[in-house]
Amino acid sequence: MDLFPLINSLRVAAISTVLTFLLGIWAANGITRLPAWLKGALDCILTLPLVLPPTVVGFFLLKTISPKAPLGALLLESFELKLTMTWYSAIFATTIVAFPLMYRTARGAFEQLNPEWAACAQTMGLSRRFIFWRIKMPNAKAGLLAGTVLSFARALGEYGATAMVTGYIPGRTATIATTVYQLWREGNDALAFRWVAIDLVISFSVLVAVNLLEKRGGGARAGSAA
Amino acid sequence: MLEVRLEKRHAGFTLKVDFYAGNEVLALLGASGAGKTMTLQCIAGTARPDRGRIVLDGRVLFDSELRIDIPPQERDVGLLFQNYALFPNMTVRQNLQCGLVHAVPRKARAAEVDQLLRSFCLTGLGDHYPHQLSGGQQQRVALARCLARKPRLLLLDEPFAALDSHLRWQLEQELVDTLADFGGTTLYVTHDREETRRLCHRVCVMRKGSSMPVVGVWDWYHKPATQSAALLAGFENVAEAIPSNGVAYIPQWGAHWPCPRNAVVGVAFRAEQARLSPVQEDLSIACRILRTSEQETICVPAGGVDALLRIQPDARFAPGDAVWCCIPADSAVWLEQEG
Repeated sequence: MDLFPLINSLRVAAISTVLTFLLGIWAANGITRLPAWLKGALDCILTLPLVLPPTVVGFFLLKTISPKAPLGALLLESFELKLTMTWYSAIFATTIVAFPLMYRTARGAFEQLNPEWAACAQTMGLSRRFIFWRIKMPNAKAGLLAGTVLSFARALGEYGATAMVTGYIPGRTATIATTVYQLWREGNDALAFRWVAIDLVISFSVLVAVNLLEKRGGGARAGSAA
Repeated sequence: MLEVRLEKRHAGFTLKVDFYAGNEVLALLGASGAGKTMTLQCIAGTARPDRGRIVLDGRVLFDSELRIDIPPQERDVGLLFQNYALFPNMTVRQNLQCGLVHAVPRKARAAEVDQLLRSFCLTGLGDHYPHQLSGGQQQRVALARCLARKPRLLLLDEPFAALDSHLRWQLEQELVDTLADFGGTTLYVTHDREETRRLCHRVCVMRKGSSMPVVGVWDWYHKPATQSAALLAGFENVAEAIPSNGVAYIPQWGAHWPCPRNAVVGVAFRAEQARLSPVQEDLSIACRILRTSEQETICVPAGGVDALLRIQPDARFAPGDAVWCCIPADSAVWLEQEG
């Protein structure tokens, strides 16, 4: 059995998890400082990929980065960079689809922090950067980790948008999700079942990890409130 | 010395604060929602007033006209919250070190922290996390942390509210010493009368976002000027008064009392200053005893409307007795129109 889909899925999910981790935390932390009306509007836009069908995300992506779209054409012309139908095309799709999960969990984790910590820290002369890295991040750790694991799981399970921007090229762009679909179409149930089993094991482990993290996070918060 | 004059629209009401504090402990006293904490935040710089001017020891911290707004990091202000806001991911030692950043060079910090641990009776607790400490110890750490960089102004936001009452008194005594050593201006936010009397020198009453003129703690407690001030100072008996030619009619108590001024709109007295008597006096109220308890006697004024009087206990009388509730002339406080 060719394990390329597993490896490809894992590398795509890993890279897009790193991206969503950084972007999600950046957005969640930055949005608290904006005026209320802008906050509301931005929050809707940033959460949209969570409720949109992934095919809509895929459609927008193709209309932006495919060689037929202006931006995609420009990149192809100037840098000979083709952003669709390659293995890394899936990173765009999975990052966008997983982003809202990271952003919303991170925002929740930051909002649960005691605002008096930052106020006190500021009067002690501590910089914004110190407050973010040494006070906010460590105390939001459990929530941020849970969000990261959830984003990883979502990225791993992404199908719709990925299929649209990468297609299915065995050994080049195939992921577990697109492979299962292809095998079903070919009537190769035996192999499809194997990939389904692999996917189940990974997803199950991820959910157990999330539960454990959330339980530990709850304990830490109760401790800090005492 | 601190001069504060500020206005800020916030959550449906307008904060309007104007006071001056010397090197003393000034109480900011008011019910919850009166804007006390927001006032502290504006002074600390973690909230921004819409208008106004804040000057600390001659240094302008905020001036809306001159467009001065010093960031909280540079205001030299120590802030202590009700729940102490200790950083839960850091040990006591690390929390204290945070208070010393920018104030003490890195090399000297460890020694400085040891000194703080000693002077706040925290020796041996340096490696504990905040949740491993008792409430009193947490308060000491928080106080040590905000005094570590020797601020010019101390802002205390209900520092005893989270402590059991039996712990409070002892920690209060420690705080009195600490504040005396500090020697600068302290703003003490509270809604507790007894705490105010024990710890503060003057009082600025806050009501619905507005600050009242600052008064000495004795005047505040014994000579309130308005009805709301009398209620806040803990006067048990407060009623409306209608003066005319040196005599005030008090409809709720069904009484006519001689009054010193014609500008009065109300009168108040404390339960402990009234006594029950079988005979009428100058300032007295005809009433019937409703019930008695270890702490107080409750009377219904005979000629009054919907009012109960609270008076100190008196074993000579029983429920149902008709008596006179008498108040010494200097114990009745005449109240004026709310400013």
